[in-house]
Amino acid sequence: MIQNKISSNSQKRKIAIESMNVKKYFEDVKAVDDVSFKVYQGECFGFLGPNGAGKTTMINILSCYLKPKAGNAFVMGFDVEKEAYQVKKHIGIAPQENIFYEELTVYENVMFFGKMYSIDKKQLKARARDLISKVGLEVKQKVKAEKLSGGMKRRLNLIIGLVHDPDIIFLDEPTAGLDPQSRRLLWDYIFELKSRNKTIFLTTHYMDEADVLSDRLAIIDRGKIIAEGSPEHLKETIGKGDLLSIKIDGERQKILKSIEELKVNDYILDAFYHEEEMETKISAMDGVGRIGKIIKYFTKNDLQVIDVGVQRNSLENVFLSLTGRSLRE
Amino acid sequence: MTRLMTLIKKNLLRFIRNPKTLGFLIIIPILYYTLLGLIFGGIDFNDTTSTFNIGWVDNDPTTADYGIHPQFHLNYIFNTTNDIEGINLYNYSSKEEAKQAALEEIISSYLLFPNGFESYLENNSKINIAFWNNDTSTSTNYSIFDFYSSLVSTTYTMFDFNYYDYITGTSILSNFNDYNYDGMLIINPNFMKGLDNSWNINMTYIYRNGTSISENYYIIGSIQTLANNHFHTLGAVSNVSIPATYNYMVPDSNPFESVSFEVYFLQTLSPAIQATIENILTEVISSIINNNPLEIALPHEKKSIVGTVVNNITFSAPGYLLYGPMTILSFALIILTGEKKDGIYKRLATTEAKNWEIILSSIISNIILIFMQFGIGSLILGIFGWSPIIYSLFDGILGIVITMLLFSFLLLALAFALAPVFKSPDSAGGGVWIIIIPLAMVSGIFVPIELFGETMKAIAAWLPTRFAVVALQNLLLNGFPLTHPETLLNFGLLMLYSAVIFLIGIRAFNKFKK
Repeated sequence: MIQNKISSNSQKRKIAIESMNVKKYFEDVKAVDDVSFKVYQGECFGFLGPNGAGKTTMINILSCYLKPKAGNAFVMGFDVEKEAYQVKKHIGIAPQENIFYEELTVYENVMFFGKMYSIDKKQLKARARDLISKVGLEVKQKVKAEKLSGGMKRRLNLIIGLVHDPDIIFLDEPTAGLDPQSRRLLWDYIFELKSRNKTIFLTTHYMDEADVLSDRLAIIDRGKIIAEGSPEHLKETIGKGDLLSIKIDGERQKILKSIEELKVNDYILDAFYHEEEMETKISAMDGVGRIGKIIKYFTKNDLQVIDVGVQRNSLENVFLSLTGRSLRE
Repeated sequence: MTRLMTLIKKNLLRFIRNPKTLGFLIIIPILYYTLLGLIFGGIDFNDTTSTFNIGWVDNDPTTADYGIHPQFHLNYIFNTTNDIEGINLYNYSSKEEAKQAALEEIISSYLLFPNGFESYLENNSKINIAFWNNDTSTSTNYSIFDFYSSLVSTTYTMFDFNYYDYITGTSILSNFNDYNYDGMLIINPNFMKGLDNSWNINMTYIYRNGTSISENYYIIGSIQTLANNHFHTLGAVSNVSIPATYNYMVPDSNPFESVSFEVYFLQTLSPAIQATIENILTEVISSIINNNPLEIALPHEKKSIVGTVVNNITFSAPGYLLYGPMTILSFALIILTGEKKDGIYKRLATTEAKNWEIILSSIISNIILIFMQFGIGSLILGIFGWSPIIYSLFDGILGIVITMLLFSFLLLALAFALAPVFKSPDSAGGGVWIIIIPLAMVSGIFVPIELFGETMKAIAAWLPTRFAVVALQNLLLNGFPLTHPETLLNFGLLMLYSAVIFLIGIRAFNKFKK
């Protein structure tokens, strides 16, 4: 496992969720295996992993639905095993599947789940209407949930988890199976939640989603966390690095000599001259941040750089590099 | 409390909003109970029970002449009836003694023979005719006394003639109701003279009100034949006759009063079995006493040992009324497994809702539905003649409420226990009927247990659903008070079963929920 240092800035922030060596086994399957991490208040923490990696099991433990086999977990300082009732006051969940009553209307569903918390009725009504309107379901509030489109159902599924205005929101694959427009709408709403200093625990297997929404993320595979840090940091340090394609005007021998000199650096993962395309291909960790430094190796040998193409490292590559498998596999 | 109410309201709202559920909850019970009403409101079951234990109470001090009519002796009737396979007769000295034996279930019914029964049979075994010689004329060749003697000594043993002269006959006729005569044969004036001259040889036959036409024809025909045989033998040429104009009813005469025996039945005995016993006994006794061409009517009254006589619907209603509620087991299972499948429990578990609130709301919602089913059943069966026999309105209503609450508790305990077995709503919806149908059948919900064989009765006695049937039978059929030991025992057993199943069920269900 690659564990990145949490920034000193993070250490000063209050911890919203803490998992300490949590284990959960289902017979022989190690769904969660000695998992530790911290989520700070107000951040969006991405929990990235392929299907069956243990993401939902971890949410189930943190939301007091499942008891861990070993280890401890705390939400807002409350033990999920011993102080479940207190934990539940602080959390809201939008599960992976749409879970609500198909026979009830949008408004009735939101009100019903709201009443499962001790909220003042007047306050609840106002909050239900506000949430319904924010996700664009105002005109559908008297419509039975079974009559809603897939995107609308996802939005209803989300706001049901938010009706009691929780401090921490667990979003389990919130955009799975959605069309781009609905996805964008949900992203916007998640950004708004972030702006209101809500702590978001986001599980997803969409790389772009994790990249865009997460302040920090952990990658989990086969029940274990294999990497943790900000998306940028992970991309800079793990994987094939950034791919630079540089067109250089000059003698071939000088180009090859420059490549050999460049390869001495640790951050260069690979570098070669592509004869047919007449381009130099370089894989470098944080290649984009080091472009100036890399170009100097060519210019000092009297070569002229004509064009630089950049292909940035992705979380997909990070995962591929860590596990040898694609996230979708 | 608000949360519990919200959960209950949600459950009921879901039932109402779903057309399939609504159909299941309302249309099917309406159809079921209407069909039951139509089928069993007027048609009896075929009997399957082969042995009847019947009491015999002889309250009749009168005695028929054993030498002439042994078949009219109640001892003779008792012994002959008791020899029939499937009938066990028990002699009791009084009605009270027999009733006690019935209440102790030694016998299921008893016969009560009242004062005058044997005399009634004996009297009705003969045709008693007053012979009024209203003729003062005389004949040189024939004697009216010879004719009377021939009638008395006739081989037609069912006739019994009594002679009256022209003076006393008038008195008999004017006080006819004071005598035990079926009719009066009147020798018309100038009958004897007519015999000599071969003209005007008519007799009159007048009969008691209530005598049937066929009986009159038989009597008149017999007398005419006897008279002609007698007089022709002595040389008479013309026929003696009773013309139609000389045959009429004695004015102001009263029909004979019949002496009825009574058949008492336990209310818990199905109407079908009651009818079977009643038919067998009347057939048997009729065949014993009737050995002459004129059948003696065997009037009897059917009575209940306790309270009133019940009809089929009233008898079977306690069982039928539990079937509708029992179907809720299927419904509850579909909901429990469905909510698990849909992840509802998981989502609720992450809210502040407590586990007991979720379970209690499910119990209360289903209890409401069970009471609704009971209400539908009662209403429809009421239309088809269900007339509950209750100790008091208070005992009846409170008894129903307690029974239904305990029965609901049992059903929901079963639902919780079975949810982990069926797992999905699809398999639960179909599979649960494998349990409901046999449970309902063997408990006597569909068919009264009184029609079962002994083995099935023994099995039924151990089924928890049977206790609910018996409790309702005690409250709505036997008219027992709520505090009757048998009712309390059934409540207790039902509660005990429910508690055990509930504890097992709730443990399994909580595991299943996760």
